[in-house]
Amino acid sequence: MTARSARASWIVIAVHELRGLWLSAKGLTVLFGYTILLSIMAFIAASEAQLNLLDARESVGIVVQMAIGLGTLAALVVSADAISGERERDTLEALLVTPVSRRALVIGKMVGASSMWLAGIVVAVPYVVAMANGPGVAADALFVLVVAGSLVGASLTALGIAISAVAMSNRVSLAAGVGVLLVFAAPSQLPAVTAKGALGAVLVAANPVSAGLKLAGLVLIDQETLASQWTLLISPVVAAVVLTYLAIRLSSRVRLGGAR
Amino acid sequence: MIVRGAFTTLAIIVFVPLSVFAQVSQDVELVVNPGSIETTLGRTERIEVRATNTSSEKVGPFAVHVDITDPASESSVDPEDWTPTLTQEVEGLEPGESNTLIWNVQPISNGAYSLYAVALVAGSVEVAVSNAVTVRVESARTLNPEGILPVAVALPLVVGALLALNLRRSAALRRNRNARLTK
Amino acid sequence: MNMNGSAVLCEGLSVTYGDVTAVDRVTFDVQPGEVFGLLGPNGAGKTSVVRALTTVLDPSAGRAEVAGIPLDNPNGLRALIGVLPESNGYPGSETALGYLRFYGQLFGIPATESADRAESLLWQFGLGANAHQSISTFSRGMRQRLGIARSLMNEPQVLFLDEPTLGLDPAGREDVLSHLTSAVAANGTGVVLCSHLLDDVERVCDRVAILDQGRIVAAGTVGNVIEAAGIGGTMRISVVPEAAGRALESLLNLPQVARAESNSSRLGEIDIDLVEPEPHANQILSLLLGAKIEIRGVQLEGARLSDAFLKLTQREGER
Repeated sequence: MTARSARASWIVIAVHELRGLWLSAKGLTVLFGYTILLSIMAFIAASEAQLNLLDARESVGIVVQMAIGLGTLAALVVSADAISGERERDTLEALLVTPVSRRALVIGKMVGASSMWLAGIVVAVPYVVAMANGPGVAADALFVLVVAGSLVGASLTALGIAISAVAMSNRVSLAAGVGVLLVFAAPSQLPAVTAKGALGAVLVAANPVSAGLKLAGLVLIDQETLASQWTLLISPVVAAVVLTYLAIRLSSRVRLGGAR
Repeated sequence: MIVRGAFTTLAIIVFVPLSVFAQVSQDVELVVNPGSIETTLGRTERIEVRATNTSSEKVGPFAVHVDITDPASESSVDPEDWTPTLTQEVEGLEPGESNTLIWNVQPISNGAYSLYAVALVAGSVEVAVSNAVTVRVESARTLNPEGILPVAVALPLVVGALLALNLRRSAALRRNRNARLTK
Repeated sequence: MNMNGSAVLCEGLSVTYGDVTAVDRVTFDVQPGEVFGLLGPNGAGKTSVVRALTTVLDPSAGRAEVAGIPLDNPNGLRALIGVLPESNGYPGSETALGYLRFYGQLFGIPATESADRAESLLWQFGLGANAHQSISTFSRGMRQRLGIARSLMNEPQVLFLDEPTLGLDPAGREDVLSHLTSAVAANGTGVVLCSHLLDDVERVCDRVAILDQGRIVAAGTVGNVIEAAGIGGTMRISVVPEAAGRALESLLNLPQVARAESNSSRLGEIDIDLVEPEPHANQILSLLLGAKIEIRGVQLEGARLSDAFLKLTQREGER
């Protein structure tokens, strides 16, 4: 074997994950459902906007928020399966007895799972561009979609992988992941009065999911400038960094079961 | 915005100081133009209400209020869904003087509605009433709102086609497709 | 290989799960080119030993080297071993070739070289014609062969096979074992074979160790283990029917005979369990001939590994 052409093991894992996700029906099935939902939501929002029942900017904001929310959920579902799924399908032990380190395994899995939200963002771009043309907010909408969407997507993917690394079954991993997502999404359901209060604002801003969605709302619906609302990107950035670090740290706990 | 009912009334109430309220119903003439409106859902229509002092004395100040109703239904319509400002004030009119007030209204549901205006002074027991204008609103749903249809159809089709190709490939792999390796 | 050239050197290895000791101070070694059988009933600790030696589990005590690499260098150790785990799952949507190529790459083999090696192994294990077929269509036997092929992708110095023939019919077992022995015979690979299918073990293993409740209760060649179990062979003697009663009476008085009884379906035949094999058989025959009993036939069979296994692993209450 020649070291020159041998790939780093995390790249081998990542490429394998990408092939597994996109050359099997799994990733495309999730993406197909995602486009159906996005199409329905975009059509309804555009119809409402055309009838002036909905502000045109608001309709763009709704589609961007929907794309971020659904893309994040899809990424979480895929990443939550990444390691606990191997464990459940009895394929993990064969991986653990190769010279690939646990860290490389987790990083490769994380890169592969990240393709889910990346695909979600890519697919959402035509919707956002089509809808943002009228109110002329395409640049802002794309910025929010790509930047906030990527940060929130990366955070939730890392979270899903971290949970998957320690969960002993897929069911536990998925339930924990969705549970955490619901907790993250809760501040966006605060009553308007509470959300505008000091505590509500902190809750929304400190939570990467609600902060990303809030940024989309403020910039695209309330016509705030990106420059004035950039602080809402702090928690998604922090979450992406911290959760990715956590997932890599937890890689040492990837094991079949617990001896000793 | 919420459609509260299929029937709407648009009225214009003219508020007149107590000293003159008794005269409003007789001295102010209200005319709503155009006399009838054919429109489609979502379009904004310009409504003019001309108030004319037909007496020999000054009248006002008073207010003009529009209302919308659907005579064929018992359900009420919220005119605020059609226009954010229902009432406008007129400072006063000299004898023979007219003032034209403008409302931009946007129907939010299809149907046939009556729109009218009244002039009224606060506390008065009488009002001046305009002619009633019939507003026929046609449904305006299009197949391609905001140009989204091509995207909304094409993307699921493209992804669905990729998925179908993928499933076909998987099915082929499940069959014994062993041509390439021959030893 | 380690200092003394062993493929596996395991000293006082223990594995615990909470308060339960699954493996208790196990010591053994495997030489290069040797097939070493690790036997034991379900729950004896075979899989835990393999998982500890393949660095999947951390041992709670003891030390071990595999291919000369200590357990505290897991990545280095794993580069030199091949493993077929007991419950090995397969990605049904992948092709056999893609599956092996991926594992080759995990061992640092470049993609094209890995594909070539995968193709070669698939042909070697009788799966060449199925290389581009989805694994979901494979039978259990085909999957086991695929698993063994995967474990050989990195040309390992030590091969761990945990129940490779479990669930296979006799033809499938024969198939897997013959492929396995021919694959490892050529390049001196040390093999640790876990199984409770004793016929398989007896056929292919050079040495065995019997594990019971986490401890090795016997180790050595199959003959050593049978001897250690203190089991003799069996003997069937056919005499003239009218002398059968006299012969049986004489046999039951002999200390070399553990059990003797007439065969109810064949007149004149006596089944005998010996305390030890051949030397006693000679003494018995001499005794009967000396007593003027006409012997018409003799069948002698040595003790089987399965007999030793049962004796060594049965609890007191089960005997």
